[in-house]
Amino acid sequence: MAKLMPKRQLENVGLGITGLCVALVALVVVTLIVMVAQQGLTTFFVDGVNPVEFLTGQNWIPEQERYGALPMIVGSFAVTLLSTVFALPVAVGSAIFVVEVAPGFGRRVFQPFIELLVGIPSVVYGVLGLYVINSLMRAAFGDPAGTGAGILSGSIVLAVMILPTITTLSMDALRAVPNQYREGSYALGCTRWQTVWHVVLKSALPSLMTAVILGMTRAFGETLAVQMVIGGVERSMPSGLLDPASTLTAALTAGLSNATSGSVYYHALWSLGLILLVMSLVFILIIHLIGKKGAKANG
Amino acid sequence: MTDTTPAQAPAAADECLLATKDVTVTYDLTHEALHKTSLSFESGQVTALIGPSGCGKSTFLRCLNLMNREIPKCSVGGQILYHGHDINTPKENLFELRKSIGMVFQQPTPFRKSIRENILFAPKKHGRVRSRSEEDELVETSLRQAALWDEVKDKLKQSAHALSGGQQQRLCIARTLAMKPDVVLYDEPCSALDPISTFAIEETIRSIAESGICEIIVTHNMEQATRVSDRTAFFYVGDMVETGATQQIFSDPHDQRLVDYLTGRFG
Repeated sequence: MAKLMPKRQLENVGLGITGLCVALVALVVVTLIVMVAQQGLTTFFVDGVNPVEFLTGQNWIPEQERYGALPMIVGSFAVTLLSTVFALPVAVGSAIFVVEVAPGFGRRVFQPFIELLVGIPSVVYGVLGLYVINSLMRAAFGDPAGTGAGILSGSIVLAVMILPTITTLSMDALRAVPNQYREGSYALGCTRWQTVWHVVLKSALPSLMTAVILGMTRAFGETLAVQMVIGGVERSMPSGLLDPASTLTAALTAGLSNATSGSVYYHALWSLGLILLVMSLVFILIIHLIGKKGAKANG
Repeated sequence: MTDTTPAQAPAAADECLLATKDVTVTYDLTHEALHKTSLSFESGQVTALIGPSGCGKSTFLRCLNLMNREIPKCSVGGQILYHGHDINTPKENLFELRKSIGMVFQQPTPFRKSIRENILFAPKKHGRVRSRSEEDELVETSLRQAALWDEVKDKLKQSAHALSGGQQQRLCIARTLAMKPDVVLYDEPCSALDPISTFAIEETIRSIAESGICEIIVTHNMEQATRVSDRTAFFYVGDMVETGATQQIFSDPHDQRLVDYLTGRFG
C-alpha cells in the first residue's frame, strides 16, 4: 500500500494520524476539566452553598446539609506534608549512596528493588498499613491512638508509597550532575562528603525539588491505601496527629456510594474533586516554574 | 599539619619539585594506557604535553594529582616524587595533596554558586580564611592572578554561570590559585574556548609561571605549546617519546614520530 502511495500523500497521512492523537489528548483533558468544573461549581451556583463556608467550614455532615470541606483539606495537606518529611531524607540518602558511593550495587541490586516497590498495588499497602502500622500506633501510643487509625498512620503508609518515586527521581537528578563538577571539587582537595554536600546536591537542587513535588502529587492523589488507615472521619476537624481524619480523595470515594445523583451532597463531592484537580494543576505549575528557574541558573 | 608543603632541602642539585619515574597506567587491569614515563618539572616553568589523541598525555597529567584514583579499575605503577617523596602510595592523603597540586579541566566547571563563593568554596572548607577581610583579600588576589578581577569586581555576588566560557575558565583558574598551590595542571584548558579567550588564558598561564608556580599543560594545539611553554614533552601511543626545551622540540626534533607529527603526517 505504502509503496503505491506518493510520498507527499504519505507525509500527509502521518501528519493526520499524529495530529489526531494530539487532538484526542487535548480533547480528553479539556473535557475533563470542563466537566469537573461544571459539576463542582453547581454546588455553589445552583445549590446555593457558600464557597467560602465550603472551604473554611469545619464540619462535613451531609445529613444536616453542612458542607465544610476544611477537615478533608487539612487532612490531605497534613498527610502529604508529613509523608514527604518522612520519605525525603531516606530517599535522598539512599540516592546519594547508590549514585555517589556504590554505583554498581545501585544498578544491579537497588534499582530492581525500588522498581518492585513502585509496582505493588496500593491496596496491598493499605492492608499492610491496617495490620502493621495501626497496631504499632496502638502499641506505641496506647489509648490516645484509639484504633490506631489517624493522620500519622496515613502519613507513614504514604511515605512508604512515595519513597520509590522520590528515590528514583533523586537518583536521576544526581546522575545528571556532570562528572566534571565532582572532579572540579576533588581537584581542590575536597573530600567526597564535601563534594556531595556542597557541589552535587547544590547542582541537583532543582531536579530534587521536582522529585519532591512529584512525590507530593502522588501522596495528595493517593486514595485507597490512605482511606484504609486514616479512619475516615469527615465530620469534624482532627485535633492531633493520632486523631482519625479523612482526605479529599478518601471522602470522595467513601461518599459516592451514599450520594444520589443530582443531590446537593452529590455536587459537593464533585466540588471536592474540583479542589483536587486545582491542586494537581498547582503542583504541575510549581514543577514547571522550578524547571524554568533551574534552566536559567544552568545558563 | 601544614597546608603549604614544607620546602624540603633538595638532596641533590637536580632534584625537582615534581618528577615521575617509570610511571605506568593500566585501565581495566589489562589496557596499558601509559608506559614507563619519566619526566621532571620545576618551579616557575610551563611544560606542555603534546601528542595525538589517546596517546596518554591526559592520563599522565591525571597521575600527578592522583586524579586517576577516582577512576575504578585504574592502577598506577612507578614513582611520583613530589618535593622529593613518593606520593604514589596508598597511604598518601589525596585531599591534602590536591590542595597544593591544583587542576583545571577542559570544560570550565564553576560550581552553582556566586563568583565569590566559587573562589572561597575550598579555602573555607579547609579552614584557610578566618575573617571577612581575609576572604575579600583572597578573592581579589586570586581573581587578579587569573586576570579576571577587572571584569567581575562589581558582580562578585552574581552566579558564576552567567559568565562567558572564557571567564568561567579563568574563574576556575582563580579558584585553583586561591588554594595557593605550587603546581597547577591544565587538561586542554582552551579547547572549548574561542581564540580571544584562549589568548587571555595563555597570558594568565605565563604570568602565573612568573610568580614561581610549576605548570603543566596538556594541549593538542601545537601553536599553543610554542606560545606558553618552556619545555615540551611529546607522547605517542602510551610512550613519552621525546622531551626538551620547547624551541628545540619544534625546531630541531630528533625522533621520527615527532617529526611526522609536527609535519602533520598523522594526528
